[in-house]
Amino acid sequence: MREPTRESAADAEETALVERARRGDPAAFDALVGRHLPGALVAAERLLGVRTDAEDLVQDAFLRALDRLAMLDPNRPFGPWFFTLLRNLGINQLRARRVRYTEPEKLDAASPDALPDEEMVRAEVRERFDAALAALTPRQREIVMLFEVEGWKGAEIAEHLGLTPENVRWHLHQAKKSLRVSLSSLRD
Amino acid sequence: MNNDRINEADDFSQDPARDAMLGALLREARLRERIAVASRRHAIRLVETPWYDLVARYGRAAVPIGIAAALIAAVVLNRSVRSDAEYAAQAATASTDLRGAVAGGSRSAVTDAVLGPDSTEFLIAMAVDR
Repeated sequence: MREPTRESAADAEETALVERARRGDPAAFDALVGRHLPGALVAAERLLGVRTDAEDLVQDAFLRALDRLAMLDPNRPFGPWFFTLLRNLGINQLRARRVRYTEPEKLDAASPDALPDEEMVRAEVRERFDAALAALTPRQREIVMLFEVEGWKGAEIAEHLGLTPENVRWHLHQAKKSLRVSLSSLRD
Repeated sequence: MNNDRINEADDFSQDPARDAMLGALLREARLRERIAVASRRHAIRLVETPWYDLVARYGRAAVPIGIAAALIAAVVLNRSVRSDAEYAAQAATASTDLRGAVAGGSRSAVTDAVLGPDSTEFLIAMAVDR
């Protein structure tokens, strides 16, 4: 059962973030992005089917939202407004590509309907993860991105960076060890 | 050399298994960064939009809006040049002339009162009066 006081506190916090973003505070906009990015990615991928296209759509939608933030009624929550914008942009993209598609499900259902407590935990983990990622050496960061995100093999990364495959795996091991520490509370 | 440190780890002869959760978080982090960079660039572009960009963007709408504004201004200015009091005074003078002409019984006087005298002398008379 949700606790209405915490939920309304989270809503109030989001309203304050929107207000600050509207006045041009980039950190407030980053915080809004952080809150809605996971749900936006799920929604966009469900709509477009391709991960990279979904990422582009999410980026476009956030930039469009930034443009139109002044038009958002202060009494309306940011989430449903943003997800409607994302959905419309996605459908336009599909139409532009002339791809046949079935009417997508209501994307609001894909939005992160996290409880305020869960949202706080997520935000904390995200913050610690970003800090751990920023603390990696540029080489470790590149290697872990190429391996875990781009799906390259160790030997391919080694060739690309002029290292031995063992050396790449060692860097990978170190990077993942650092990053996992920041994920420990999420995995519990 | 890093090779010395390789011996500390368990096995670096083959790639480790991919970590789906780590991968998802890394993707999100990368996208967050991309959006942060793009949003800052976007905000700067909005602030620094040159006048010719604005003209290109809003030029088509500006022409009809300008014409409409000019028409409205012309109507408003014309009304303000001749006040209601002036119109009333003019109407009163005209009706007095007409009443006088009808009372006098002269047909040409009535015509003159309604349509104006049948000559250009009235122009000279008006000019002399002024």
